Amino acid sequence: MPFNSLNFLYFFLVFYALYLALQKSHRLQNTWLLIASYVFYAFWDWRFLWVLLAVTAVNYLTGLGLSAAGFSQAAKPHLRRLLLAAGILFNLGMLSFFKAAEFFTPGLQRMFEHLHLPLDPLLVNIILPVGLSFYALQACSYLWDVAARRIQPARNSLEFALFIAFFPQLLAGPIERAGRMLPQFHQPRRLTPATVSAGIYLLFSGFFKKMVIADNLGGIVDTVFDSYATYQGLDLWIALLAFSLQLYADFSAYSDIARGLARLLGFELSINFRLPYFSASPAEFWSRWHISLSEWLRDYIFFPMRRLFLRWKHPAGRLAGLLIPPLVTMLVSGFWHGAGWNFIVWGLYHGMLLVLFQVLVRERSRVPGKPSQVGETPAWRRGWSWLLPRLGWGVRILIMFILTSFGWLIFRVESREQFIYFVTHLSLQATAQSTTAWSNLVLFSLPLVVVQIAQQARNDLLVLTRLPVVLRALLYAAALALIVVLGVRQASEFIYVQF
Amino acid sequence: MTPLSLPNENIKPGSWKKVLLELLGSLVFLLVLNFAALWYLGNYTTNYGVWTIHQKWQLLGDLEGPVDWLILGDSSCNQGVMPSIFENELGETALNLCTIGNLGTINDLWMLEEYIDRFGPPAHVVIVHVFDIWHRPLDQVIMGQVPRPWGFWEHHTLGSYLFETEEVRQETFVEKFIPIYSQSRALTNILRSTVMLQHNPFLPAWHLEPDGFLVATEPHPEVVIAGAQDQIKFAGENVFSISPTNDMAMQEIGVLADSYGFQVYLVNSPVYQGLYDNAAYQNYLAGVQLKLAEFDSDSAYVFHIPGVRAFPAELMQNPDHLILT
Repeated sequence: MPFNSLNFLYFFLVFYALYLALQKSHRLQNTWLLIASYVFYAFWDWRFLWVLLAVTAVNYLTGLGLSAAGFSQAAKPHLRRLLLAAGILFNLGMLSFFKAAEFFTPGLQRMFEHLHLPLDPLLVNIILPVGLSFYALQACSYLWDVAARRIQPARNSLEFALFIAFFPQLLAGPIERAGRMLPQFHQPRRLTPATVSAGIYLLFSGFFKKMVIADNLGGIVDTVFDSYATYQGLDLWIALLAFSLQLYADFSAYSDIARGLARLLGFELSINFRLPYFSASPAEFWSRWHISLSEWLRDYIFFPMRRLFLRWKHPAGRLAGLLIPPLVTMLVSGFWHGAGWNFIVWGLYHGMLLVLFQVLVRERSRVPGKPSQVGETPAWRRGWSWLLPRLGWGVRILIMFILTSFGWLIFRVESREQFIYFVTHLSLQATAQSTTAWSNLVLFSLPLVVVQIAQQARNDLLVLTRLPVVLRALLYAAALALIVVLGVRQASEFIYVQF
Repeated sequence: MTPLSLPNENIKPGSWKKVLLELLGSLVFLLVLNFAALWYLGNYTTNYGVWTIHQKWQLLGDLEGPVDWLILGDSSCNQGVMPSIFENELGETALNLCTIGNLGTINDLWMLEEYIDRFGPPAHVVIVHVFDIWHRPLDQVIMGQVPRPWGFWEHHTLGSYLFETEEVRQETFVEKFIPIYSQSRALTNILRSTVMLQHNPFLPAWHLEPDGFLVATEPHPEVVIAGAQDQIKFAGENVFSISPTNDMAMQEIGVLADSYGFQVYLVNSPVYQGLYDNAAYQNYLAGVQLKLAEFDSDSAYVFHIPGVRAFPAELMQNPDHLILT
């Protein structure tokens, strides 16, 4: 039941009518919301409902256990550490099991076939439960935060179950923190016209981005990637550019719809995208792209690891602190995205970009007001320090966009041969198909580009809601008309739901 | 090293009245946009079939007096039969109301009926169709494109029968009144070519003479040859059998001709020489000719002209569409 299907529309209308009717009691609303969330999840695959329930139960009890072991007067740090480790191991073990099964099953299958040995069909058919990548991380962050005493553990099991299963963000985030969500579930809903209006805008934006932009660009991308050997030159660039925009439009559309639905229900979810293609550096990119995951990785992997290295007084510690945390963090990010070598390489690629950027920026930031250390600075670094301020922001953004798009190529390819073909056949030489592909790319991405420029220029993601109400109504009508005219009618899956 | 500050969400204060206005206003504007598209597509669509149906029915609606020769049929006749020749050779007036093949002879019948309602029977009617039109069943939903009031088919023979199911009426409603859905492909093409500055959206893609003749000047010999191969394949794989709707409509035309006493000439469309020379085509055509001869023998006023005129690919746009030379 994807958001962009009629089934979801019917589901939501029925659910929302009763939800509003229960407005007098937020506890009843919570119960109804939880039932709806489980029904929503069961529509995807009822067989994995037990995974969701198990993650909920284990983490709820572990949280209470952590609290008992850590907050009482007779604190038991060993027991707390043990409980935390067990809880984290359960969540990550569950996630790793399914991810690794996807990763190793094809190889295992080949090996067993080669040895003429039977392989248990149960093993061959293991698939990743939808949304697990997202709610497992939420559960981990909850345990860490409870253990670190940043938050109180959830006492109300219903509210905790909602924190794990809240249907607008259950399948593809944003990955929320308990400290942000549990208080919202605990208090009565306050629907204001301002937040409902902003929610409506997000819904229009999300459905437009998914059905008009992402799905149509997906057509260009799939055509080229599925039979790449028949394309070359400019067509490959167009496909790559289309994929960069498709991925952004698709994923940010999911986040917009999730956040829009949440606002209609009286909740506030985190912003997950802040115009990532306006980034001028890898670090900035990760502060604009899939922010909830970036912050999760930063808070629970990058920072702890970095602190560990900085505590190490050996000179190698500083170097290791510079190199290892970004590489490991991005490697984990790659593995989180999927069970394939391309995701691992993609993670490493971004890790290396982060390291490279850190090295370059550190050198530059040391220059003003400090005695010259030119003698110990390599020539390439001095060159970079000279060049960087002289490059316009537009050029930096363009360079970062090209680097990011190259990363998306690694992300999208299905084989090494495909990657090599792309790299060796990319050029600006147009072919007979280029004009059609280019005009489709322009038609479908133009609204996205125009709106994003306006959003960045006004520094406001809701810039369009500042229009007078009549213009806003006209804009929504135009968006609806374009969804009907240009929208892909067969409801397609959101890309990140597969992760 | 942030060149541009990270954008945020600044929620603007509002009122429930404005939220309601926003939602209702967008629905009202959506309706306005839909009906603007309806008007626009009737005049400037890049969908040949839709454009032709609109223009030809408009021509019939705008007709101020009777004509001697009423020319009906499909698109091969649209650009293949020049009314001016009737005037020059016979000194009699003629009007080309040919539309597209998918409307079949039902459209011929209904245009003829509307003409008779307004001006009485014409002296002569010419009906021209491509050999592979006669077997086609009618997709009545396309009648939604006819620029006449909703339910106009109720006033025409076979109309109630063709539109008796609720499902067909619903689909026809969408076809007629919700162009942003039913004509989405044409709208997409227009938007794309306009955005790429390849097309003036307010310039009709085809030119129609006041007598209904469509002027086509550009030959497409490669399309002719490729199209002929498809038709040869079709003719080789099928045995001719007329579709029930075409059969019923032709019988009704025969009844009208007999009751009003006007002549109806059944004519084959022009054809590409390479196709005409093919045995499979000739075999299939023989079946068509037999059926048309049957209509001839069933009525004292229906005449079948069995001759087929063949042309080289250089004078055509596809295997049965001529250019003006």
